[in-house]
Parts: sequence; C-alpha cells; structure tokens
Amino acid sequence: MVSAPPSTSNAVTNVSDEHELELIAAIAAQDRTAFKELYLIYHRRLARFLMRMTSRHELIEEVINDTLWTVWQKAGEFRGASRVSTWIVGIAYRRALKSLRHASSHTSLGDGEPASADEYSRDEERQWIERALSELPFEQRCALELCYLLGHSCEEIAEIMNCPVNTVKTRMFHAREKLRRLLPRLAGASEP
Amino acid sequence: MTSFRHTNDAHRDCWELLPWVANERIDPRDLRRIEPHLHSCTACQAELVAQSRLRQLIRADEPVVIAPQASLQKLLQRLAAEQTHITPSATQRGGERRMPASAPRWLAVAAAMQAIVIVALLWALWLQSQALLTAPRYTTLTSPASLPPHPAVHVVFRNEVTIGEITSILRNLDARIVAGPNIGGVYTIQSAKSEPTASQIASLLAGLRQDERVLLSEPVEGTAAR
Repeated sequence: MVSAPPSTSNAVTNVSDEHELELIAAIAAQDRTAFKELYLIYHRRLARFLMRMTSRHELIEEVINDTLWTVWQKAGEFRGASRVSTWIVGIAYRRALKSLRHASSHTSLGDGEPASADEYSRDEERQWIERALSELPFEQRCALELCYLLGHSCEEIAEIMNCPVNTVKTRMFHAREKLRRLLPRLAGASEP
Repeated sequence: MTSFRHTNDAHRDCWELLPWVANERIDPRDLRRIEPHLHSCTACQAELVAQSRLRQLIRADEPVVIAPQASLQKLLQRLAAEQTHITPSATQRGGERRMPASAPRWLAVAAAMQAIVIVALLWALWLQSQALLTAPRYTTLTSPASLPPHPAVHVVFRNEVTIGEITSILRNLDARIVAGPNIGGVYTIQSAKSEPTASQIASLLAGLRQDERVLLSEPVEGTAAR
C-alpha cells in the first residue's frame, strides 16, 4: 500500500517564497543586488521550463530577459496575492506564447515535433521522456511541466495559464493517459 | 501506470489530484479528503508511484544548460540605458520608474515647487523680452523718455546767434536750457521757476517769438503747465 508522501517540501517552499518576497520588495526600491540574485534564481528554472515549452534555444534568453525586465518594472505593483514564482512564471508563460506566435512557430504550439537526434543520444531513459513529452499537445505539456518540473499547485497552474482549475485537471488527465500509452516501460517500472 | 475505470466520484477525485500528491503541492484539505480512498485503492496507489517516477525523470532531465551571466549583463545594460534615457512614452505610462517608491513625500513637493518657480521665471523673462521688442529703438523730440518733468519749450535760434546771445536771451526771459542742442540745433528750455504757471509759459513763448534771433519756438507736447 502506498501512502501519500509527507509534505516535506512545503516548509522549504515557504522559506524560499518569503525570501523571494523580500527580494521583490528590494527590487521595488531599485536594488540591483537583489535583482541579480532573483535573476540567478529564476534563470535556471525558466530556462528549463522554456526549453521544454518552446524547444527553441534562440527564444529562451529573450523570453527570460523580457520576463525579468517586467519584474524589475512591476515589482512595486506586486501585492503578494500569489506566490512570487507563480507571478514570474506566469509572465514568462505569456511572454513565451507571444514570442512563439510572433515567430509563427506553430509546430511548437501544436502537437509538438520529435526532439532532434542529438537530444536522444544521451541515454535511453531521457530519450523516452523527450519523445513522449514532445508528442503531447502544447497545453498538456505545459501543465505537466509546470506541475513536475517547476512544482506548482493546481491552482497556481490555473493562474499561470489563465484557465479554470478544472481545465488544468483535465489537461493533466489527458497528458497522463497519453503518456501511459507512450511510456509503457514507465508503467512497468511502477509494477511492484 | 495502471489502467482503471472510474467506479465512483471518490476515485475520480483522487485520481485527478494524484500529480499534486506526487509533487507535494496538494492542498491539505484535498489531501485529507482523498486519503481514505488512496489507502484503499490499489489503482490509485500504482498511479501515484508512476507519477512520482515521471516527476523524478522530468526533474532529473537537464535538456538545456545556459550560463546566466552573459544574459544578466545584457539585461543590466538595458536597465542602465532605460534609466539614462527616459522616454516620453514611459513617462506617459505613469512615470512609475521615475521616482523610487521609497522617495519621501517632501521631495516630490519640493520638485513640484521648483518646477513652478522655473516656469514663473521663464514667463517673466519672456515678458521682459517682449517689452524690449515693442519699445521704440530711436528717440524723437517728442519722445516721452526725453520729456522734462516740467513744461518745456523747443527753440531754434538763427545760425549766427552766439552762445553769449543765447545766454542773454534766456536770462532776460528767466529761462534755462535743459537739453540740446540736438543734431537739428533744437534746444529745450524751461522756465527757471520751479513750478511755472501757464501764463508764465505763455509769456516765455511770447518773448521768444518776439525776438528776431529766434527762428522757432513751440511748447513741448505733454509738458503743459499746471
């Protein structure tokens, strides 16, 4: 029998969110040191998420910098209604959508295209994941990445993607169904 | 990942929330609600294991490694450029970056007063420049600026009249030269009395006009006797 995992990450999450709130307050007062620290915290997170989301290296830096530029300009308006990470990832998500549409990158917004051969070469396990995720529809893939890669709650994903909570659950449901078919070995790994 | 059938609402409710059980971001109230079902449903338990495994694989995967320093430097340069070149459109958006949120209120009031003073000074300078532009750039015999404070008379003597004779004429008439001669040989004279009456001025004019050494004598306009 499997029991729900203890919520060990919640305490860490709260501490880091408090620190990020402090950074946002400092940035609102034009503190560049705080801005640099926040930038380095979010650069890696956003780079990984955006790479999964767009599959386009050339857009990543542009989207990250535009996102943090907005953070610098709007920090004074942030009232803490959501977590800092939800706010920032939401900005990045919308900015990435805009860039993709501007670049007419319908392949990235559609059913996805298989990853390149180079990306499959590292190991077999990664190859499964890359291939399977790339075949998910865009919204389903984003919901899955926001949940597992960035660790957002269902409500936060709804806020980031600007959709109802039930839509997030539905997207996740269909993503899991499709991955079940694409990743039979993952299912096998779950066998006791 | 184990196939399943939705046998009841509790199972579906639990199944939908399993990703957030796996990533430990489920709402505590939701967790309390689905826990009884999760403890008793082998399908949900297997799915939770599968989703936890998927999460591990996604988080372990490192599809992109980008050094942040170069990007950060670009952005910092952009911020510096923005602060040194404030665009009008940015100001129209509310000027939210022009003055830090921490700036004290007195600083804003002082800045506003300074702006008002500058505008007032510029207005005064403009008025002064307009007055200079509209003022006459030449002086005439009847120019108000050249008018003596008391009644005066313009006099032109004949060319052969000497200075001594002019002095004699004026002394006899109890008058004095207050200006001239100008380039046309015109003298401006006044009665030696401090506040001459109209009759005294008329007497002065009559005396001048009776003298053959005087070519012209006329009262100066705007200097009528009281």
